[in-house]
Amino acid sequence: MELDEIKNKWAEYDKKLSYNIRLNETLLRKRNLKGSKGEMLKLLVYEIFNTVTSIIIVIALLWYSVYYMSLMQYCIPGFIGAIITSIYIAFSVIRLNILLSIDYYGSPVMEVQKSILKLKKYSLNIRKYEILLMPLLMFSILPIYAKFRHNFNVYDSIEIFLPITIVALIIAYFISMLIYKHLYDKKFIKVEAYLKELEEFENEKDEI
Amino acid sequence: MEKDKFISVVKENQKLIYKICYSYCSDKENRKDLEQEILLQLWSSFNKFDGRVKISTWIYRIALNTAISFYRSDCKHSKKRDSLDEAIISVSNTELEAEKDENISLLFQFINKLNELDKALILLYLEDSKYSDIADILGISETNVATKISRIKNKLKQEFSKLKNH
Repeated sequence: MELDEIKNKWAEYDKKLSYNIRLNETLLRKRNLKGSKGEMLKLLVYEIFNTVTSIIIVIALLWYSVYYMSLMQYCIPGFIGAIITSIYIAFSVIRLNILLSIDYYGSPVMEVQKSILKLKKYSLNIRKYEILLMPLLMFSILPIYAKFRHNFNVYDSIEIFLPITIVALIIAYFISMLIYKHLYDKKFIKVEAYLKELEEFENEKDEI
Repeated sequence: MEKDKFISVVKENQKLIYKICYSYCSDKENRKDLEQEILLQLWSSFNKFDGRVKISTWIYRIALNTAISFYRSDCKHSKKRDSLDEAIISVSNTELEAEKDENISLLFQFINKLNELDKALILLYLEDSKYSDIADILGISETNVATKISRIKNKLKQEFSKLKNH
């Protein structure tokens, strides 16, 4: 069967559909058309939550660091923690910016799909750094947090704290790399492959 | 008032939405979710429609984008979700016979085998859209549309003979 014959069949099908299709207006009026399950909305909510949480952490860390300004062993790690968290905020803001710049409703299919994939690719790339920075962030905020919140001085038992920190950092990095490899690396490869597929789809021509 | 206008737009284009859902999701439950997601996306952007493109072009863009994203994330993996009570756009039993029409059924089998972009292309072609409109909806050149349709035609010919022989 030729595609043109199929087209005729499709037209017949369309005609039959015209007589039998039914729109449930009452249900459409009743149904809540607000809670999208779309992954872009989930991503948007996640990024906003991420940014707000990170801002709160930076403010808290700066507050703690200024409070212990005279005690270098607390304020320096505190500031390092604030810098790392600010990097997280920057990543989130860039992602939010890309996300909000996608014209999901007015652009052609290829453009939207490519923008979504580029955002995913960027997010997965950044995730690598976010995961790698996480253990460093934890250990940089630990002394000042323990001191401020529980008045516990980790430097009093430095001979225990230091080896534990080093071992924990090594383990944390190892786990982080495993997490990235198993959770994000495969996703990244898939995104790259689909992006390539889209580019091929876009560029294929004159091969009749 | 706005919802009345929206409902009348959906009503005018319900076949289009139904066919997209049917082509991208063979599973009935997932299809209801996809329909809901498409209607939701259309409703969210309804006040942003400025008439620069035809209403059908606008609906195609949103519906296809939603269907492609949905197909890649949900339909393929068939996640367990809260089931919706019933579909908003439905067909009576008589119509189901049309889908059971041998050629149409074969065509849907063939459409199911295509990747999500070719699926969009063939749907637009079958809907008798002009090459320029297809190019506009998908965001590729008209030459590219012609090339792809020609390629799909050949593929379809082969597939049909294969499917008919089975």
